[in-house]
Amino acid sequence: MSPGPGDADRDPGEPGPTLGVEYVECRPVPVLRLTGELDIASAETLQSALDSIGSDGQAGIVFDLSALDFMDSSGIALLLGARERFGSVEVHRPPAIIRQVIEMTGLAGTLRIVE
Amino acid sequence: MVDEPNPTVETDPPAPAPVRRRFPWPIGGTGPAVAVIGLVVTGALTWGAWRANDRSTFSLLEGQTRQAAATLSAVVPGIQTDLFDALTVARATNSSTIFDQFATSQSVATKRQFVSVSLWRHSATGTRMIGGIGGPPLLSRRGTAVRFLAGVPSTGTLSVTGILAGSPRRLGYAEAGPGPGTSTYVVYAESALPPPSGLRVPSTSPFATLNYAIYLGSSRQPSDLLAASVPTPIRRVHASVVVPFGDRTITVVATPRVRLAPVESAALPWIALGVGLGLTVIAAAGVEYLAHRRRAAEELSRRLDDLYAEQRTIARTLQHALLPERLPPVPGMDIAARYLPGARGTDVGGDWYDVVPLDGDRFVFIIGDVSGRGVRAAAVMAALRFASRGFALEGHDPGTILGQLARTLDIRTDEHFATVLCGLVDVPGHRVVLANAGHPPPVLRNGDHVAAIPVPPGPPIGVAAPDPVEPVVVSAGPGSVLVAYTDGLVERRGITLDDAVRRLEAAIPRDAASTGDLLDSMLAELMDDALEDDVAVIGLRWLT
Repeated sequence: MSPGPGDADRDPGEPGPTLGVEYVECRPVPVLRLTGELDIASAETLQSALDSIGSDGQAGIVFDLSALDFMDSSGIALLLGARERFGSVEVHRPPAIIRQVIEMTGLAGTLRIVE
Repeated sequence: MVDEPNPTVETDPPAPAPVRRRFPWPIGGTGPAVAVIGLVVTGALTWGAWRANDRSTFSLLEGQTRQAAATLSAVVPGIQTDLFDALTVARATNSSTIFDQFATSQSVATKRQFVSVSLWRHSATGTRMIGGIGGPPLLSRRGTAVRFLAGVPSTGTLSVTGILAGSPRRLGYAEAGPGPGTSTYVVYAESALPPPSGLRVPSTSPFATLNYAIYLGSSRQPSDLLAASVPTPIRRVHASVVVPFGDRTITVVATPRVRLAPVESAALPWIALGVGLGLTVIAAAGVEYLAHRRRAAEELSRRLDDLYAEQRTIARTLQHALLPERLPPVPGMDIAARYLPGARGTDVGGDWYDVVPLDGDRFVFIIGDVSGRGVRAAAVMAALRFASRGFALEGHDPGTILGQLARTLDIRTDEHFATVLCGLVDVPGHRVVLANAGHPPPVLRNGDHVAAIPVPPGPPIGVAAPDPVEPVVVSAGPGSVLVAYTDGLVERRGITLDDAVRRLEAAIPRDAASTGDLLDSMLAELMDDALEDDVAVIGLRWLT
């Protein structure tokens, strides 16, 4: 499985396709729109974006995945980490390829999928 | 019949390219080479500075000598004036008596310049002295007086004799002018010369800083030496200046007596030498230091390579320790497993598989995938592996095993989670009970029929489960094979999981000599490009 939160001894990944993280809203909950690919190489980008969001009393976070092309288990790990930090996670309009990853990992209920 | 279990667990991770930094340094042994270059350059500069200093010192000497010689030359107009005055008196009065008086009062008494002044008249009949003071001129003793005086032109140039031997020596000067009729008056004066080494020079004179030798004429014969402050001839590097002296010349040869140039200028070669040596030392030391650093960096690079190799060995050892090399034999089954590390081969991964025989007829198999990589993931994996073995040996069904396993891991504190597939196999009964915590579905090939078994996944181990995991029961015909794997085998860009699983189904060969061969064949077909993620796969084949 790809690196997840708290994994400090991973190798420097090869440069790969980039991930775009767009901070769309912040009220009532932060909405992050992801574009490109979320894998081990670009997980750092999303982690930095999540770290920079101050969690002052926000209950939950929303990920708009409509424009995301790929996500593997490192993305899953990040979403689970976000759930721990923000209390709950909603995943909006995931493409089929990503929806299947979430469902296969048995997290369709934990990461609430909203179409 | 038990097939020899030979899960050749390939745990050799690919070696990463060693880091080598090449330094663009063409010369070896550079410190001494730089020192030699520095010394050569310093030597050249020092020599150049010394030469320049020398040259400037010499031109200073030349200038001083010229100045000194000029003071001698400057004496001539004064003498000329005196003699011309006397000449004028003689012509005006036509009387030698008045001339004598004049000569006495002017030149001899007051200036003490001449020891003898005489008036001569030169005519067609001869040349004879008609008046004078101070005693007979030395010239007349020599008998050449007439010849000399007859030859004095009336051009206004001072005629000068050679050195007249005597005690003291004398030098004679003559001026001529028209006399009565066609005759010519000649005024002739002699002054005494100090002995050659007896010339006293005032401290303000240009001669004060020089060691000099003054010659009458330009031939520098010892007999022409007028005065010298050092033994002659002067052999050291000297300047020599020739100046007019009446109708003759005077040569002044001089060497410096005191330091002519300022101290700094003379010190320039020493400064160049000192600075050059200093810079050479610094440069050589600097170069040696850089060479040393380069050697240290190369040494470090070598040690890094060694460390990489060591780390790969540790990873391999860990992998061997954590993953069973040999799966326990199970009667009636041919069981094999494969582990392929991903591209990041130095780190150990979190995939594992296990087979736990319960009794002769049943066994539990487990395949799992801990999130992340590295030693921490491996530690979590080891803990889960041994915990799951324990729960399996206690006789629990797969659902319970996973439920209990879920209590041992919490993503909030352990910072890892794991997907796990657990199955309880009844060998003679050809039945499998499967429970799934977030893991990809296993695939069953039963003769011509091959399909993934949809086992509804609960959340991964470590993520709080909202509901207990639902087990699934599957029947496996004789000779069928169940393949379980980790997600590295089905995570691909541009293809959904469903399609990837279907591709996997198609890759399982219908016939194979052994389960090991079956897995190898399947992997060969699926592993088209380089794996990013680790892959673990286990195959359970009913022999009957």
